Amino acid sequence: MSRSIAGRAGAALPALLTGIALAFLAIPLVALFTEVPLGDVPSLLRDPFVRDALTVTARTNAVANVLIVGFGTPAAYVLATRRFPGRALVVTLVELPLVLPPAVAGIGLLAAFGVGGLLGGPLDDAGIVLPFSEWAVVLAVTFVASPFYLRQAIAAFEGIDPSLTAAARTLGAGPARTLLRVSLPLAAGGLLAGWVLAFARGIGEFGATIVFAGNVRGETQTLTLGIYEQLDADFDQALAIGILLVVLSGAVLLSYKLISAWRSSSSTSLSLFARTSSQST
Amino acid sequence: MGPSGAGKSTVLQAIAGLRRPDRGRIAVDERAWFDAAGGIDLAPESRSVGLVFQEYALFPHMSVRANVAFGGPQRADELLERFGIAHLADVRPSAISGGERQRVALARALARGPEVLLLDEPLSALDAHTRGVVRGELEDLLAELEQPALLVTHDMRDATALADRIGVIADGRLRQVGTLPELLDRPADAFVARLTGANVIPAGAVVGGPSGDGQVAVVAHPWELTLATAQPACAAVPGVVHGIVPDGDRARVRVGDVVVQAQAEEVERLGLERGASAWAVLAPGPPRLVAN
Repeated sequence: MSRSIAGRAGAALPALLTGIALAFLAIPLVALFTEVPLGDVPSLLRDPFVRDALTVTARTNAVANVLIVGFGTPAAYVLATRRFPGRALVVTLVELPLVLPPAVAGIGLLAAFGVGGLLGGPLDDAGIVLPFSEWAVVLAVTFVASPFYLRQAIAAFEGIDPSLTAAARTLGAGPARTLLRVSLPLAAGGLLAGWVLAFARGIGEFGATIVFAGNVRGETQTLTLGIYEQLDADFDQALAIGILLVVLSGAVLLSYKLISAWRSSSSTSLSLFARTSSQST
Repeated sequence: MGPSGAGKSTVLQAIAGLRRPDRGRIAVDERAWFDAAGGIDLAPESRSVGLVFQEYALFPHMSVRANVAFGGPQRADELLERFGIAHLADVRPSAISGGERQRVALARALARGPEVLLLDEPLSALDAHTRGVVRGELEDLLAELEQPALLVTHDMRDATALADRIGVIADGRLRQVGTLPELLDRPADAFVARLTGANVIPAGAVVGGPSGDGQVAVVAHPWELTLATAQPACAAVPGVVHGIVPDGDRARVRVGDVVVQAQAEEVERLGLERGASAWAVLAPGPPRLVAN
């Protein structure tokens, strides 16, 4: 008798814990949509305050993403295909911003590029003041988001069967043509998935931005910083911005899942060729 | 030709420029592609090789035609026709069979008009039936090819069917280079002899044979031996019959460690069966000797 009661309680416990966890995750999202009348949201978002924040976010993230992909792709290719002493250290360094607290990233950027910082002198001589400028936002976003792209990009390039690039070389393609016609197309899915994650991280950046770039409306105030400012002044507007970002995040997550599903469906046919040749004859 | 790990693929990769040897020289006619002493090391794309990889390494994101055209757009259509794969031109490599992929790999390697054709175990990724078919096709192709071709395999049948000369490699060393008759008749060492399927019999095990310590062995091919139930006058090896494997009108009889290929009716006439005592009789004449 007592055994079956204990048994039933034991079976119910994991379900209960799961329920609590899901509720905890769901309640804030639900609250976002219920605490402000949904009909008001479009007009709240048309407010010039929100438009300024949106413009800053769009501009800074566009530049940041170009930098991330532009510098990150060749860097990932080099790290994936070359073996050199200290490589493990370099890869760890590249991944560091992933675990670094964003505020610490901000302080670091300030210490490096601020007026009294490491590179402050040379920058000052060139007439460039970075802190609290729009470029500071770009740098902050690039710093925190690039590891997301780099990690996926490195994995994507590493996943290419080396015999494919070797075949391209024996067929007369130099390193550049091999990269363009073989490596990039094969890595494209992984690069895209990585970029989607980096994009999401960049849009959501707060800590490094507010420390390094400050919260100047129209210049450095991104959507997330805008939420922070409107907490006291206009809570409904903060909620509206929150809803916008939730929808955006949802779209990002959906794209990532779709890309991953497409990659794994096409890679079952690629898997025959994606084996690294380990046999030595 | 040689066993796995012998270094065969490494040789092809070195010729293609994918691996850099420590010493030596690789040249076609008088043009050096690699010369350690002279500091020459041409990049793979600057050499003129057509390399067919063991698992073909076809570009999965390109069609068959695009694969073949990668090395040489001008000859792509002609080669697709010649290899009988023109009907697959717009298909992806993942959708075609192993034998078809092999032909695409060959066509692609030849599209560039290379000076040297390199084939890395071209038949090992195929099933037994396809292997026989493709071996025949390769035989025709190699016969009409003007360029030198270097083929790597661990299968003696490939070597005998396709090669003018065979180089035996083991443990990274070239043991012997020669035609098949040379390898069969004058193997350089016990390893080569075994590779060609010959028996390597320690001299001490041969009754009435050459005297010598255990350092010498007699090389005898299964078809050079005959069977007897009683000790014959000439050199022979005694033993117990372990197995009789019929093979058409012949049979392979295992006497001790020695394999004899005899006519099936001869085996029957002698009344040999498993467990019986028998003699493997060497052919008359001076025996073939190698170091054991």
